[in-house]
Amino acid sequence: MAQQPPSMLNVHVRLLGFSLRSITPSPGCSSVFKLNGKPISRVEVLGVVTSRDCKPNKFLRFTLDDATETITCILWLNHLSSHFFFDRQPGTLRVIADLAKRFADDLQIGEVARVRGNVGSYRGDLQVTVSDVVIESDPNAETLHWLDCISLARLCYFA
Amino acid sequence: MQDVKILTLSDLLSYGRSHTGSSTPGPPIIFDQNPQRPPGSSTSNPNQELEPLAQLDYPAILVGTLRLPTLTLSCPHKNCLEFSDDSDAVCCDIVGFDLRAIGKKIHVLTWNFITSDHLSSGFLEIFKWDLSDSSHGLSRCSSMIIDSSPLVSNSIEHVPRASNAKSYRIHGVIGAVSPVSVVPCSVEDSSSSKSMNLRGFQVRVMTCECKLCRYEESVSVLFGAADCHFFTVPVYVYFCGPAWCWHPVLMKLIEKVVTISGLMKKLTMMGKQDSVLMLVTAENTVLHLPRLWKKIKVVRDSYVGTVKNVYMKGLVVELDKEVWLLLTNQSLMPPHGLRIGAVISMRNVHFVDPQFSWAKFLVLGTCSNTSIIVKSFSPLKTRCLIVSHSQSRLGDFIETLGFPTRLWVLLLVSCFQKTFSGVFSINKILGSSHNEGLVQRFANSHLNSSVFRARHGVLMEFCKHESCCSATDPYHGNLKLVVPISSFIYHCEILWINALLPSDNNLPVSCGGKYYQRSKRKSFQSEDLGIILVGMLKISSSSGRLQLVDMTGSIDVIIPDLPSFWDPNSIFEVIDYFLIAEGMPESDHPGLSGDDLLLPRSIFQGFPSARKPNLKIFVCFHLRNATCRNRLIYPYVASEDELNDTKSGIFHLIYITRKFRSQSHSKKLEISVFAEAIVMPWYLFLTAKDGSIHQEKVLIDCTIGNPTDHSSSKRQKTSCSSSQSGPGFKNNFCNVCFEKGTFLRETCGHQSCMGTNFSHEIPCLATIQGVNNFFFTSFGTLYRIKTNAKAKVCKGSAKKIFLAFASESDFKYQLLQIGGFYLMKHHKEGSLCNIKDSGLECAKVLVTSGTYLRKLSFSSEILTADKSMHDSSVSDIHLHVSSSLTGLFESDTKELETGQNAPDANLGNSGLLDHSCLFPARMFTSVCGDIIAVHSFDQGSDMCSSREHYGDLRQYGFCAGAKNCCIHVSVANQTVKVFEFFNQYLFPTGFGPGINATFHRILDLRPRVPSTLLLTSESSIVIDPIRAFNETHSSDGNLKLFRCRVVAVHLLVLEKNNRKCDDLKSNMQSRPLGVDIPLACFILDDGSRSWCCWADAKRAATLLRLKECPLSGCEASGYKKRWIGVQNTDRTSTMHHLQRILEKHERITVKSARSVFDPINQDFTVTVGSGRELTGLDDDFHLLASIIFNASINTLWTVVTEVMDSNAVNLLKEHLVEMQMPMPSMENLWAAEVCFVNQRTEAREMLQNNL
Repeated sequence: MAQQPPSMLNVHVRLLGFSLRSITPSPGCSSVFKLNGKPISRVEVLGVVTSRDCKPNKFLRFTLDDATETITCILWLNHLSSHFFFDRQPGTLRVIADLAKRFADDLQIGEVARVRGNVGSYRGDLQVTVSDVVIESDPNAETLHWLDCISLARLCYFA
Repeated sequence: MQDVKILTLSDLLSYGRSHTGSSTPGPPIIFDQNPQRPPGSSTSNPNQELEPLAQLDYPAILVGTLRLPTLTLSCPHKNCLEFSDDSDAVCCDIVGFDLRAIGKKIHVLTWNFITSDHLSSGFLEIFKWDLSDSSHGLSRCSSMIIDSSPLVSNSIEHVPRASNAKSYRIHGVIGAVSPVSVVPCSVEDSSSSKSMNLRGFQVRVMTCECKLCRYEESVSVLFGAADCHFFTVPVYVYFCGPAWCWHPVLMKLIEKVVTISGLMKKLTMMGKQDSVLMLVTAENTVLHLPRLWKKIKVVRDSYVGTVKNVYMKGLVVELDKEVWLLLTNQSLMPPHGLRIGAVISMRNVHFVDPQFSWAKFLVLGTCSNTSIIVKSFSPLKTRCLIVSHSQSRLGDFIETLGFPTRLWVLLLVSCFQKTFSGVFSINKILGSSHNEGLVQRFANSHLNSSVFRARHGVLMEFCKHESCCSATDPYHGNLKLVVPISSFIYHCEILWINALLPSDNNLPVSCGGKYYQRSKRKSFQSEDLGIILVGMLKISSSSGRLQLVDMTGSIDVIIPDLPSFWDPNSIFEVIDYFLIAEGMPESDHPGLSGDDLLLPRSIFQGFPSARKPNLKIFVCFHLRNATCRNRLIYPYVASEDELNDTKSGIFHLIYITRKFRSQSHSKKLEISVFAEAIVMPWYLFLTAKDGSIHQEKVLIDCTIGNPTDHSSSKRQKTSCSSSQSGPGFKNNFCNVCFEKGTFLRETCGHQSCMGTNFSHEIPCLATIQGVNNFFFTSFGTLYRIKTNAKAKVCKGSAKKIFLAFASESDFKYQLLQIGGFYLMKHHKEGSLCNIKDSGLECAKVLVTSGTYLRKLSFSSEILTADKSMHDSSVSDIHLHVSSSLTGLFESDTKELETGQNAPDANLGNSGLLDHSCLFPARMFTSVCGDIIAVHSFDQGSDMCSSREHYGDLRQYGFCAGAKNCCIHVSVANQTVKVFEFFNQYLFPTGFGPGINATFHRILDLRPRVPSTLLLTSESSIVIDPIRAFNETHSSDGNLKLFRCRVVAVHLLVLEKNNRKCDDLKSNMQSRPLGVDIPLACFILDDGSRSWCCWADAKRAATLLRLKECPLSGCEASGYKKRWIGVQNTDRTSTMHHLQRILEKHERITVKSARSVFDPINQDFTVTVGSGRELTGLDDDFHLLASIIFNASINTLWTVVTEVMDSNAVNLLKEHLVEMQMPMPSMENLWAAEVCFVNQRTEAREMLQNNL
């Protein structure tokens, strides 16, 4: 019997923008999407920050352009005020809030950012709710990300 | 020269020491190519005196005459130049040779004089000299200075020649010179015919066929027109008769242009059929040589090297650059000056790459064409080379082999001399001129007949040089090296150290709140080692373990199919085996190169025998794969048939319940080892009839006739019994075994007798193992005697016996397994059959070396040669019976064991046991399970001092031991801990994680002390040898490479690292980490899957980015500013912060308390060494949270992972259960290596692979 491929639900699926556009919502669960029929909830994208809209202490909405598509991302900055985070430990929440602020500072237009987060939809459009951001200073990062995305798509996502 | 003293040879001899002397003494010559001593080189090699020669402290010269060799000089080579003065004559060699010096008085200005026991007068090495009277030059030919020397002058020896024969002259380059040989010669004169032994040698001269040479121009013309010549035509000149003494001169003239005139032509027979037209020296033969020599390169295969060592009485010479010169050619007489430190030049040697799997080096093979001269004498005080080839079968045998094989045999000789020294005489090992020795027979057994070459005489081999070329082929039979066991152990230690990678999966063991390092185990396959083991099987008197032993050392062995009996003097050869090395690597072991471990040097000189105490090495093999080599030693002795004992007779069946050593200090007791056994109410009767021919039929019959219910006490009988056991079987049984005069004897002929006394009569087929894996089968019947039987098999009987093992049968005790069934042969005089009926249920039975005691196993299947009993069980005799019989045995055993646990009542009386060590019998138990981990712990640690749980241990006096050990065993999916406070030798060989073991008679402290058992002096551990064997060659796991990111940290244990780095020069990479991380689990994700990645301290520190600076989380929180204000120094690194807080807390455990799939969605519980939980308000909590987020928010890593075996996963489960943490439902992988991703390189490689 063929071995069942491992679930990708909790994996940060590395996608190019145009592939991200191809995912479809999973019926009955707003946080789960399907990529070629496989359930996913988290993604990793990489691209140039092309726009940013910051509401201090609330959120930073920005777009990444990875040469195939633009991807809308939202980074929440209200960790210390929103009830959404009430169940988090105060100690970690302080660190997370500091980190989110640092991410927002780093995400300047023109920077190449590697973003991991949960995929969701807002007013019918796909958006990535940011977990973490790494600003890539290596000019080869984009190329490697493209190649990784292509390879993973061939071998795993669309296999 | 006024102050220069003129010494005579007698002065040198009376000085009595090897020395160097000169007319102008200067500073001692510094030898810049010091021969290397191998690691721990033994002092057995006398050639290891590597001091410079003593220098005479005054200027001196020698004055004497240089002469050609004579047979009168006391030299075994009889082929050396001679230096003589009025006082004495010695062998000598000379550099800067000049033909004019022969026969003339010379001044020796610088020399070495080497004393030698084998040369009566010593050996003189002349390396600076001049002619005492230069006017006494040789005759001068025309304008060009050409020295001409008649070969025969005033010689006593006279070569007969035919009168009026034509004289020939050749002009050419000397290409090769053969060794001097003596051939019988028959010379017919006009008047008579006489035979004589003709001493001589051949020279191959490469001649030219140009006009000048053909038209016999004068010698000076020939030499003058050097450019006209093309020396391509080989001509053989036989220097015989008085000309033989020119051999050392001709050796020095190789590659020089000479003219030899006055030669004669002769047809020489080579063997019986071939003939060669050869030029032969005659009375008026003259050698012409220009004063100004010019070398012409006609020899292709020449080599110059420095002698580093000489082994095997000069048969093997080690040159620099790992080149090994073989001097096995018996006719070759290498110069005495071939000493350590000398530079030698070899012509016409064979370059051979032996292609051995165990070492890489170059072999130079010598043959009749080879000539060796010393180019530069050694300044070291080393011995002269004296090769005295005594005629032996081994020597002749070696010469029939190719060069690589010759070296292999010489290595074998060296090994066997060490391995069997004291066991066998040298004659037995090496053989003699008449008999083959052990080496030759062993080598023969490993060599194909195709490797042997036919030998020809020296003359033919010289002329037909191409025949030697076959000797240069590498031997493709994959010759393996035989090494002494001590060398093998040393080799394995180095292998183990070099094979250990810092990244090796080495999860620590958590026990009693502490972490303990596990030992690292590595296995090696014999195929990869290329080494054969040869030795005898013995039980170590000190450890009680089975060992393979030779005269140099011993190594523990696991042999799953070892019978209970073997001849301890049998020599076994083990080719297929697994080697296992296990231990705790030293943190700073010296770098040892494993590259040259098995070079011939190491074999000839031997390895150091020092063993590291923290390393266990053992070897696993099946006896069926080992070869008993007794026939190599005793070829004419027929092997004893030790099976006679087993073929037929009556056997008692006993069941071992206990093994113990006497704790009593009473000197009265000579015997210190005992076993307790239940005597089963069963008897096995074996007929002498070989059942092998009926094997298949028996199987069918017995299977069909399987009794339906053996558990019934009613007598059962299978349908096949009578047909297979043969007519008269019952009569035989009664007649053979029952005592005379017993009640049964009178009625035994009747069926009723059997019915009255036996409840079961079960036919069976016994497969019996003999030595050398010889198996045979025998028919038999198992009888179960009724409790109320009137007949007695023996005079007295007991239900329980104590086997007392005499010292000579200690190995029987060691191999005895608790819970095993054994057969003891019924014998009228045997101690088991003569127990005095004293009313006791228990009796003592002495086991001597002659006592028949064989392990028994049962199965319902017939084993064949292909599927031997080794595969299923370990026993000497295997009974093929119906499946239900096993249950019957079990119920009998249980029944007998019950009620016999009133322990030691009899033993106590007998003084065998020390009463202070007695434990409540009901507390003893047996457990069987898989070993998860074994670790030691210090005396006075938490384990036995502070913890309440272990208070009971002290009750039994268990904390006194210095070396304590804890064994984690998985029993029915629960982990129990077995503590050991006694000697380590309690553990059987191979005991360790992954092994299935049964612990017999261990003290059960449950439920008072949870999951805790204790090994006592009475306990014994039986491991599953087959599983132990299989475990040894399980693979180390596949390595996989991932480009991935850290998603979360699941578990992190940080400890203060007390290790300090003393070496200030060591670089940062190799320094120990400032923080110890005994346990770390990361969740990694490569875009396709996520998994638990467990890492050691170094890899965990990398993944945590501890050495990076600054810590972003700290920076953001202002944490850094509070502690330090400087960036980019070591003190600003995260590691530094951690060290500071660990100073305070000693240990910190960080456990994931939320999602492990989202880097930002992590929460943690942090506990410190004191047991306190840190809150979010704590600065230290903040730092730790920052570290973890910092690790989780990072770019790509390249992680090389290794699959964790089930044992390691079990260990992890145990850790997590202890920490009350769930095991994530992901694959567990071990981080073997972690490094940054070079994105450009990775991208390029991906593109190249996809284009």
